[in-house]
Amino acid sequence: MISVADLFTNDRIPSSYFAPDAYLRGDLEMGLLENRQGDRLIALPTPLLQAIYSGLDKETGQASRLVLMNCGRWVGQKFLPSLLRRTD
Amino acid sequence: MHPQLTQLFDEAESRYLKPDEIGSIHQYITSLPERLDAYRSLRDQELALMQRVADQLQRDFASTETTALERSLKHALLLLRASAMAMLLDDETYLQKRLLQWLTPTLQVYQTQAIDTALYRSLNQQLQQTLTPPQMQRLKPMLVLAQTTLLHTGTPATNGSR
Repeated sequence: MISVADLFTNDRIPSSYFAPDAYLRGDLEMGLLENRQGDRLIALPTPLLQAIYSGLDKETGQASRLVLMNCGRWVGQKFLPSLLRRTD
Repeated sequence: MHPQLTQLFDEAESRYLKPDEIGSIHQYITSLPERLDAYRSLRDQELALMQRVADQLQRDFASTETTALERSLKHALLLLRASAMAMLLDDETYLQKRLLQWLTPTLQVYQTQAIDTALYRSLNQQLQQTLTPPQMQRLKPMLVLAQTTLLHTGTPATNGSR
């Protein structure tokens, strides 16, 4: 028999830590963007990302895929410990 | 408060509010007692109501494992709580950002449409029987928005966010 009362932890059901309106904080007019822990965030516009990809492509050609993969791995390795800290 | 209304507050230094804008604020303020009433009712009835839904779910899905049913029930509780708050604030975007944006892809992963469809039917029945008609009237738009978005994944609520 399922007891609904037991589904709660301290009257709480965990939601998503990263729900946009809870996770993103900041003052647009001051140009300040933070996550809910107070760490600073930056917003990157799509044209910038597209320019990085195409610039990388022009500079390194075939090697751009390897470069991007290594960058991604590096970012992931940096991000994972803090992610685990936050969501524990 | 409805996001359009809060946007007006930013304009304070540019201008005074127009009569129809003041009307919108007035309309929201006068609707607040009713919204609070519905919200309080939901708060007080939540546990008993959801227990009846859980019992029904277990009867209908006797052969399904408990973890799957519990997961759907937890999601439904989040749905109910988020809908109640969105109703109180008169703010659909609250529902979108706080719940639907992340829960919609999550449900796609778990593939629980059959359980959720039955659960929502049972939940809506229970709400209909437990709340007064005006309270149900207040809650219904948010509830319908949440449930149709979650069951028919791939609708505008996901915002192509992938």
